[in-house]
Amino acid sequence: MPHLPIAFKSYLHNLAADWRAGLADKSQSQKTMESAKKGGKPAPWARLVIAVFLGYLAATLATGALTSLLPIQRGEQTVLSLLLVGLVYAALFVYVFALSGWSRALRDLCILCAVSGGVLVLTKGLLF
Amino acid sequence: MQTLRQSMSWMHTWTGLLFGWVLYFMFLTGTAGYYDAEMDRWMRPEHPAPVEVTDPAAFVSMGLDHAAAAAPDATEYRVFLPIARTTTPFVRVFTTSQSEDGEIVRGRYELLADGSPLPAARDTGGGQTLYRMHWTFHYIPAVIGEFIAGLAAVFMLAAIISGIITHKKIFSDFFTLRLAKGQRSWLDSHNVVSVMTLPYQIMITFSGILLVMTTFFLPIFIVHYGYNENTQNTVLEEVFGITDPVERTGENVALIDIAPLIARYEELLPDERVYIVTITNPGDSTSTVQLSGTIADGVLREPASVKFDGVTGEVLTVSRRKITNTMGVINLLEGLHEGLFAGPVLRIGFVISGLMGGGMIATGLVLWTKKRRQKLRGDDKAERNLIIIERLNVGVIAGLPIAIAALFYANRLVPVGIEGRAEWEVNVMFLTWLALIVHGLARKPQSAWLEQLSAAAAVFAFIPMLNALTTDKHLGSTLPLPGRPGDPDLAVIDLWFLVIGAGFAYVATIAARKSGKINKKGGAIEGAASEPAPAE
Amino acid sequence: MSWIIALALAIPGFAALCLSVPKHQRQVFGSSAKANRIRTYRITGAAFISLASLWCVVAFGWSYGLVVLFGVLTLAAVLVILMLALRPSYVRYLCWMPYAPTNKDHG
Repeated sequence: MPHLPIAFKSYLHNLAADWRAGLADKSQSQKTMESAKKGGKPAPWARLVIAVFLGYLAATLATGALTSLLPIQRGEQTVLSLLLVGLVYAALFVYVFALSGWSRALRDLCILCAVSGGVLVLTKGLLF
Repeated sequence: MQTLRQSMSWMHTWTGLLFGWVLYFMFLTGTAGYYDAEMDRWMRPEHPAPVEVTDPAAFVSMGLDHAAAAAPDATEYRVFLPIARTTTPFVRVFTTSQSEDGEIVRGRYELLADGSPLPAARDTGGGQTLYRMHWTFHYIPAVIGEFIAGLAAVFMLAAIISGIITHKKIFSDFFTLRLAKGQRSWLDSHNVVSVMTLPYQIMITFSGILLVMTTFFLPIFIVHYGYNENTQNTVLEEVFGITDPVERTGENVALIDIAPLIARYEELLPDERVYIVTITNPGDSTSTVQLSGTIADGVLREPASVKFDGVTGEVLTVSRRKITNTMGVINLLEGLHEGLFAGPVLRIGFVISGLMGGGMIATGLVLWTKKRRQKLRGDDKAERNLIIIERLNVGVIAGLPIAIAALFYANRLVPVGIEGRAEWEVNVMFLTWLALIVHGLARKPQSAWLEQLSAAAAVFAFIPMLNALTTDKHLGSTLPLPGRPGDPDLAVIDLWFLVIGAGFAYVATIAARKSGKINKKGGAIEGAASEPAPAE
Repeated sequence: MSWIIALALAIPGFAALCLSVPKHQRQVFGSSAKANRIRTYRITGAAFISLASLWCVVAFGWSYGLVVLFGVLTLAAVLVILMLALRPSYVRYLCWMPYAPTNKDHG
């Protein structure tokens, strides 16, 4: 257990640098671009699956967690979530595709799900 | 930022391509939906002239009398006055009652101004079917349809974001449209239609997600409320303000006179008209009367309403059309999406924006094939895939408008009285589309484009003629002229068919000119980047 | 009528903004023209579009007017773009400021 906060902290610490590095890392995205140009392996299926399914879960949990922290009534929290969740989902889509590798997208979304889930457990208790 | 732009361009391409055809369908049928009420009337030519509400109170009591006669021990009466374009233009009466074994029985009646029932029209889904397709997709369960629509909208939103990032010079190329320059022209047209209508596209996509949110983002409710047998009721109460109906006491009370309540309503909400009258537990001591305005009287998709005690006439609640909470923001966006508030001119603006949305997707899809074609050199498998997509594009893009026209042909030509007639109208539409997709696959794309675009021009231009041949509600009688009011709501549909026909004729001419040129050159690829600009 | 006024303000606005781009100025006034009066065109364009916005809100009210404004701006911009693509030299007449950058280039 004590490893988790440390891992999380170092993750946060590295996130910005990682993000910049990811954007600067031309090799992989260049490769995909080139293979797309050649018509070889066109569709980015791995990212698509991550964005659609994990992105959906992460968007739902993250929006729920975020709004559950606000000091407003539960009904209002829900409505606010409904308003924002589509935007969050689309933003995660863009994020997954902006990163250079799909494995990082997978990792980041998993962490987002875990953190949001944790927040929800803290704010809502175990609902199920 | 080079790489971000590259990855965004890559994402834009793939998200757009994956849902492009679905979104194209949603855009076209959804745009038609801006005239759903008018199309409803066009497709039911047997119906008499619309009812004009002169005295709301008289119309309401007429509707309530009808309801009381039809379902004496109902738990709810609802009367809709034909004041807004959201309705059929007749008085509508709904009753809800409970049968002895606890089943809910609903009644639905449409009345003319004198209280007589509306004569039956041909069995048709009307404009509503065409409009509802853009998120239910007709043949599949509505829930699955809403999921597909929601996912398509999220893809679209992501494609908009990535498209903006990809577009290098959104401001300095704002006015740039280079015609007759092959692939360059396709890119320019795609950029121009997208950037011009960008506010509309963002609005329509985001609000589209909101309109299916309760299905598509159902887990949000579970996140906030958990999952047990009470979840649904708690959500309905806390989020949507819907509570269980109050039990009858069984104490019989005469129904209150509606006229003074309407006067009170107009006093409390001077800007609102009475549209819906809802009476719960009529004739009981727990009875309430709710008068609501129409959502078509303003941008918010939430009517104003006043709730009265059904016995004493005391005002219980008043809700005005104001944005007071987050739901208000959602209602605003949903109201913008549906455009019910739009007057005749703004409605045309909505349709043009919607059509440009369709054009945005169509140009994007074609642009993809052009780019792809340039990059392909000697990869047989990829080329085969590309050819299939190129050919499918024809049938999907040019074929869908023809299929929509086929729906209107079917409405006039499918014999009245056959079983499942309404369903057959839609079947005709989709069979036509299927046939055109097959046609597009079978022909060389260039000939297929020319043939289908010309066919589209012809079929749309002919609909008003067909209308004149089969009914007496054609442009000859519906067009408002000096000295006669005509019927503008019906005329506008026929006029749109003519305009769309002319539009396709223009596009077909361009396609014809282009294919003529290419033949002279001797079989170069369509859209080769070497065509000279027209003499200016 | 309100619509026509709104369009009559928005079209010159976009035409002027269009002429504030050197590339399009050359398209409209001929290739020999030097980029000229960029600022004037830009300010005129912005002024006309502000007037159109103001007019929409005054004539139609806040909520309806803003929706109308987006429709009017889209329509006006599309018209200017089509004019520029099909008959570039006519764009100068869409703008209520029909002078050319220099006398020489006008002819």
